[in-house]
This record gives sequence, C-alpha cells and structure tokens, in this order.
Amino acid sequence: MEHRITLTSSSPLVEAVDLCKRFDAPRSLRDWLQGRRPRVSAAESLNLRIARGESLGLLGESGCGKTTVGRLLLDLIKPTSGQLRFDGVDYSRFTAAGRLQFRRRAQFVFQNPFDALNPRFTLKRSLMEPLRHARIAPEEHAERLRLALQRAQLSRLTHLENTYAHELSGGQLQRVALARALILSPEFIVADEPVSMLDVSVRAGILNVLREVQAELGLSALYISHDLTLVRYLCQRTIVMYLGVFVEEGPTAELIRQPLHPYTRALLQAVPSTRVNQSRAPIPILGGVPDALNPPSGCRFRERCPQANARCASEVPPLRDVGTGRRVACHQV
Amino acid sequence: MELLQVQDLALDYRSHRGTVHALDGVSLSMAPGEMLGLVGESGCGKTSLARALTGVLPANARITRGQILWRGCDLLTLSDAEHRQLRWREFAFVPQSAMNALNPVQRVSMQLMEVLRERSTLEPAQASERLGELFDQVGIDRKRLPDYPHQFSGGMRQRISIAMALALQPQLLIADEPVTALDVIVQRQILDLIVELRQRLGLSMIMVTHDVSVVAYVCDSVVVMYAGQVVEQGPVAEVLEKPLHPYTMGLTRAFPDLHQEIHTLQPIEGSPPDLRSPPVGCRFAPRCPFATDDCRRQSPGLVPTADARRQVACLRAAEADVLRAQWSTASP
Repeated sequence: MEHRITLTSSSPLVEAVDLCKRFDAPRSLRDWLQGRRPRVSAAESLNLRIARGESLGLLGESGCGKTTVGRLLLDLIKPTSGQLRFDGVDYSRFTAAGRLQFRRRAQFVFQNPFDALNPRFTLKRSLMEPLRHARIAPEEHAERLRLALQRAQLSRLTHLENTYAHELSGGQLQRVALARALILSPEFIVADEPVSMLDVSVRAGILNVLREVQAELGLSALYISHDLTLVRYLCQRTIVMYLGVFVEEGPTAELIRQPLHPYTRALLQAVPSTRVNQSRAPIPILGGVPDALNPPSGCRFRERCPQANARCASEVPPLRDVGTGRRVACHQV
Repeated sequence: MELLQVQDLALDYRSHRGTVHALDGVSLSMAPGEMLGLVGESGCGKTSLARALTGVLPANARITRGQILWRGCDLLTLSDAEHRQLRWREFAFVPQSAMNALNPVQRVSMQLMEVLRERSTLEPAQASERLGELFDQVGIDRKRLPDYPHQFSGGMRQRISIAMALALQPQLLIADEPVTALDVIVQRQILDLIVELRQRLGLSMIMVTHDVSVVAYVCDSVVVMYAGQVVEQGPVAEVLEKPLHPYTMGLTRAFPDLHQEIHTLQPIEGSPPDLRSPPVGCRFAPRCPFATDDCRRQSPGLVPTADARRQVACLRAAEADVLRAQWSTASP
C-alpha cells in the first residue's frame, strides 16, 4: 500500500494521458528492400479518465483499437508513448510489489468464456487460482469464494470441486469467469465484449449481473463493445473510437439521443430496431474502413464523411469540449 | 402454389455420446417472393433445418421422417444427382462465415466461374459477362474479380458469397446468419443489399438468424424455433409485437432495442433441454413461467389461430394477452 497516494475523491481511478500504441505490421519484401517499417497506430494520443464507481463504454467497430486500449489500461501491453496512472501512480513507476497490488485491484473479463477457463481445471481450481497468485491467506479463501459466487449469482452452483467448464452452459461459464474476476475484490474491471458470445436469452442475465455488481461494489469499469445497446444499458459515459482515435465522448444517454460526430450518427442509424415500422433510410456514410497502415490525413473519418471539406483533410480535429460533459473531434460541430 | 413446404420433418445426428434429435416434427411453408425469418438460439435446429433444405447435411445426420416439398416435389425422394440439379439453380445457400466459404488460394473469378460452367451451358464469353453482372448486382467493382479472397474485407466477402449464390438465378436464397460476424455498419449495408436484390430480382429468401432486429428489418414472416421444434410462426409485425408463445415473449423482452425507451432486460431463466433426451410435454415448460401440469405432460402441436394468420404451439395460447401482461412480473 506504500505506493498509494492520498488524493481527493474527485481524482480519477484510472487515467490515460496522450496514450499512443503502435504495432509493427508484417513487412513485405518491398518494405525490406526499401528499409521501411510499416506501423499501425492502434491508439493515437488518447486521453481518458475513469472515476471511482464510474462505468465507461468504449464503442467502436472491429480493428478500431478498442481492445488495445483495454489491454493498455490493464498493463498487459506497454504503450509506445504517453502516461497511464492508476490511483495516481504511474504504471511505469510500479515496483514489483506495486504491480502485484495493481493486478489484484484491476481485473479483466474476457469475451469468450469457453476459452477463458482452463478445461482441465475444476471450477473450484479456476476460481481459486487468483487467490493463490495474489498470495491471499488461506483462511480467507472460503469466504471470498462464497462472496464471489453470490455476487455473480452462482450460489446455486454446487460441487465446484468436481465440475469442469464443459459441463456448464455459456451463460453459467461467463458468470464463473466474472466470479473469478471478482474474487480479489478489484476496484477496476475491463470487460471486453462480455456477452457477444452468448445467446440472446442469457445475455440479459449477464448484463443484469454486471449492472448489479458494479452498483453494489462501486466498481470502476471499462466496457469494450461494438454494441450500442450494451453500452446504453451499462455505461454512464461513452467514448466512440474510430481507427485509433476518440471521435466523441459524452454521457451515454445524451450521446445516443443526440450524436454529434458524423460517425456516431452513422453507427446509431445502422442499428436496426425490433419494430417493423422503422427507418430504412440509407445510413450517412461512404465507402469502407480505410487501411489502418495509411490512415487519411487530417480527420481519419473524412473519406467516409458526407460533410467533409478541405479543412478536414489538412487539419486533425482535436477532441474538444462542447459543454455538458461532451467532447467531439469534428471541425463541423 | 407454395414455393416450399416442410412437413413434419425430423432429423437426428448420431454421435458417440448418443443420438441428438435436432429437429422433431418441423412444418412450415412459404409463398413465392416471401422473406422468411428463422429465429432461435444456438442449438434450436435452425441451421440443421436450413442445411436439410439445401441437402448439405453432415455425414452423421439422418432424416427420420417428413417431407420437404419444392413446388410440390419431395426433395427427400430425389437422388443426389437430381438434388444437385436443383441446388444453385432453384435454391442456393449463403453460408454463415463468408471467410471460410471461399477458397483462399483461388481467384474469386475462378470460383464463381466454376459454379457457372459446371452447371450451365454458357459460352466462356457469356460466362465472364455474367460474372461482371453478378459483381454489379452485389455492388463490387468488376475490376476486382481476379482478386483473391484475402484482398476483400469481411463485408465484401459476404457480398461475394451472395453473388455466388445468385450465379444461376435461383428463386430462393437460404442464408445462414449472413450478417452475424459483421460490424454494425457493414451489417446494415448487407441487409440493405438483400432488400434491394429481393425487390429487383423477385427473390424469396429464408434468413436464419438469432437477431430479432434483423428479422424486423428485412422479413415479412417469421418462424420461431425452440429445441428442434417450431413454437410460433406468422407475419413479423404480429409475432414480434404480440407474441403468442411464452418463448417468443421472452425472446422479445430479452432483446434490447436501441430505438425504444430503455427498459430492464429480462433473461429467460434456465437453459434449453438436452436434445438427446428432450423432455416430455412442451419442451419450453421447464423454463416457462406459465407452465401447468398439463404442459409438462402433453406436447402442444402447432395450431393455427382463429384468423388462420398465425400458428402457435402452446396449450395456453388462448390466454396469450393475459400472459404477455404478466410476463414482466412472472418467474418460473
């Protein structure tokens, strides 16, 4: 605990400043000959803060870099540049003990519960594994297990010591994965598409568990998803990401009621309704996602934007404050 | 006449862990030009049904009873060769994962050409003109015909598998989750393409999906499946807005709608039965908040409603209005 810095309650639990992550792309023969090192910028000067008890949604399509952000925030990969702070402590200044502490306080919930649990472990062993790693006193184990199962609404599950992952349904497995994430009483969780592998009828159950757990424990959470309905259901605030940059941020309800960025608008309109009488108007977006190796100059969305003009090509639009907690990166707004 | 009629179809899969009764007494019919949605959760038999219709079942599958009538002719009595004559030409299959459906080491033009040349008498010049037309139809630049599958994005590859299915101008497309693996915007573009093709070519289509909003967006009628059986079918607007079967009620309550007011989502408790030994009586009864002792004993057949517009398999269908109102407070 010696690394914790006492801060006022308004300070964020998790903070990223000017965060950049670039990955080396595979080099072609021509790249070799010309001495080029193509790089994909998966995160480009990102700033983000997650307050204590806050749930933040990170919305975007595949390949936009949203999972990279989640992995950076959990210190699973190192940023190319920029700062990351957890409870005021810079990730790069973690001592060995501090890092172990961080690993207890921040947890990941994976997308695919079928892959997230070792098929050769009993459920009990899977659930207890984090306790062993975090060197929790054995006398606490039983109580922690009971609490975690209760929070994931798995109390009815018995015979953990001789049940294996393949015996459970997808919904139950995701609850086990959640219980495992909660067993160390974390303060921050990152959930990457937590329900996308599950059937519709059990999705609702997991979403409700996540909602309750978070409210009850006052967890900070980052929900990474392509699904606007999930983000609306779980997150107070949402960031929309496109090709490695944040294009819009705001309170979720506001952002969905009145999207400001043309990309957010297109995303919203693209989602069909469950009502037969619904808008079938063409969505206001052009072409397809550009090559991440050579993103367009200026605004990365400009080639697909129906409103783009010369300024959009020459000047990168900054993510700027437009009042009532909203930020948008567009010259036209 | 009906374009397609399925009567009392039953299908088993044999495995070393027992026989799975994947379909049990499935009946449905569709008119020419109809857009039919087939919804249900994983393991409910929707893909098995789609595959049985196209005659592309895995080796361990066996149809144990029933009929599949294509314009009155029973497909199950046809030889493989006869079936092959109809496949692609009369009805064609659009697979779920366009990523895996295309041969990665062969140019797209070659793969499309193979479908054309094997099954039609087109001259080479006519055939290559037809390839161009197909790409136009699905909205891809003709110049990209000689490219390899990996050079296309996921959405484009799905367009290519649609183009391939359209190659021999079939009447019916059977698409298995055609937009599931795609991003929101691409998904919408493919759905719009499907709607457009249907209008332009007068296609009929069976759309297999788990997504209620996809059905609402493109389909006229819907068949809801649960545990290998049809539980409800009828026009989309009526089924989704006034479901008669408790499973459909649950499905629509569990499915969030971005364009409606936010409400607390309600899961359907429990999980689907093991189809190696399905429960007697109604298969949904163990999860149904309204199940009675009768439901657990007696299997409800698919019965037409009074106005004959819909069919439902529920003993308590007459009370549907009341049950729907109770769904929010009920628990099994």
